[in-house]
Amino acid sequence: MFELQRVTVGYGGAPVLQNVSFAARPGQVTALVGPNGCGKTTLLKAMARQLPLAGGQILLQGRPLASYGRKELARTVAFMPQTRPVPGITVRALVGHGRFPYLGFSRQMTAADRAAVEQAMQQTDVARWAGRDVRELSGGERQRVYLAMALAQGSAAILLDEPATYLDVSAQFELLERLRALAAQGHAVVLVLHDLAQALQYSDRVAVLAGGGLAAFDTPQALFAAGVLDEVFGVTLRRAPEGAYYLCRAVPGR
Amino acid sequence: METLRTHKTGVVLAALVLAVLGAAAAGLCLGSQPYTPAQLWRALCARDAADTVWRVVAYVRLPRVLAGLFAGAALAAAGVLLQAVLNNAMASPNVIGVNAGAGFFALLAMALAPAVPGAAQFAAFLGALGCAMLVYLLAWRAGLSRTTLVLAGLAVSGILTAGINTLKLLWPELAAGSPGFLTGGLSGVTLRMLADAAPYGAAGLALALFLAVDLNVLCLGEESAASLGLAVPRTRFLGILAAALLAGAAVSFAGLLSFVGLLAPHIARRWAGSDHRALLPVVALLGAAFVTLCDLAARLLFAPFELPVGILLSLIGGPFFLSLLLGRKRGRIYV
Repeated sequence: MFELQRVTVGYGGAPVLQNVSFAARPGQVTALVGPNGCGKTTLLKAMARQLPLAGGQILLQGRPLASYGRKELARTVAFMPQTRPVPGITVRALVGHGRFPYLGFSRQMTAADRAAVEQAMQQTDVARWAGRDVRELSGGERQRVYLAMALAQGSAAILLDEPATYLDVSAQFELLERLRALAAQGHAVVLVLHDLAQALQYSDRVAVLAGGGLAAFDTPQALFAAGVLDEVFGVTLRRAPEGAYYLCRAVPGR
Repeated sequence: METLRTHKTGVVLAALVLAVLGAAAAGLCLGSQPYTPAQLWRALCARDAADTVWRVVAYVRLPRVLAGLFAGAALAAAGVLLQAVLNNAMASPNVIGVNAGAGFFALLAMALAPAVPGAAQFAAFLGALGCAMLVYLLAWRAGLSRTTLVLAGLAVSGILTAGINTLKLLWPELAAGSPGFLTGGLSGVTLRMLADAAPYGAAGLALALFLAVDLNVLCLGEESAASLGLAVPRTRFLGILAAALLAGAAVSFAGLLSFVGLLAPHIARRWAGSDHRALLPVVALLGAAFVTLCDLAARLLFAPFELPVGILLSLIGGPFFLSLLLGRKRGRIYV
């Protein structure tokens, strides 16, 4: 789906990340982790083409990202930013905006568009709130509605910037399970995660960003075995007998 | 539910159409010499040039009522556009200096090229556009918070108002021709002035309605809108362009009418929600009825003296603006 080739990104000045290469595949959840300020969000924005590359290139389905038309890109990649203004519209209207890249010059929704909206709402279990004002929903409910909008977009890849932040713990797990299910249906899910244990638990591949580049890219098991995360984050990563990951504070001098 | 909302918008629209018709009829009937609706109807049917009723209605009251409807609709719609484009509830053509820009350039054109037909209207449009872009760039450079935008607008407004006063000193005949320009007023508006401004207003309204869905998407936030395939900078520019066409058209004959572009959008949002496809028609009708009624009140309150309608609007709008400043929770943007 996504192939990053020696990607360098930054905001005009010194690059935040250099020479990052990895691939995010359909059917997989790929997590971007790293210490604060390491460039996770910057890289995700570059993958959504919201930030120009300073070097290297990103291929999307084998084609350079830059070669996509604006609406064509929107039909292929959905991007959920971490924060955004919440409009005073109904859930159905918000999910309906997911069809924007399919609308013609008159901006009228067709029956097919409406059907896609209903289906996206069914799939995320938000149909029962269809007539509610988005602002009345809780953080977890709202995130599900935005996910429904991304699904209505019909895009094969979904990029999410810290989707679990600000959610109740149970809502965090629920959302991550939904994303796993989407990957199982063939979506390429790429997300920035703050919580290391969650990242290891729910993703197929983890990209560890640190020190201005890609420190490691591998499966959670391999990263755990190699101890990369202990080094980068200064913690001790453990695994419970039943398979769940958890973190301890690093013990100095050990 | 969706259908309920559509239904409600239909009711609001119907009520506003009635309000506009009522305001227009009242504006034509009432004045220093009040006429009954029956007299008005007879005069409108006969159109007899010898009839005093017809002459008063056609040459004095009709231009004024049309000017009120036009200016109210245009400024209210410009307010909605600027609020959506700048993502700022405090934005409105008078607050961010668009009116002052239009006014300054309109007066400059009247001073320098008084004989050129349409020059004032074109200059008003250019001034409004230049000013809106300038304030947007200033606020963008200083970080787009809603307060910076208002402050940038205030500074630009101040400079341009000084410019308007200077023009009035240098060309005293301008001051005589448009005494209420700075506060905004509808006395002395002719059908010719309205006809010259009408193409700008119509173009602005058409562009605004064309942009309605794109503005809805823009209100999801810049990043979300871009990821849905919206050309964000282009949509912003077109929104500002439409607002400048509307505000420039209104200012060219009504002067610096304040607060309509702030008040009407906030009330309209309560009634019609945030969908611009419903909001734009609702706000235009609301602004039209509101300014026409205010102008009527300004004519009648201290009869035989007339208050420029801009004074009345400022009296109502100023406190409303303050309540917006004080009453927002956590910097929330829309009502």
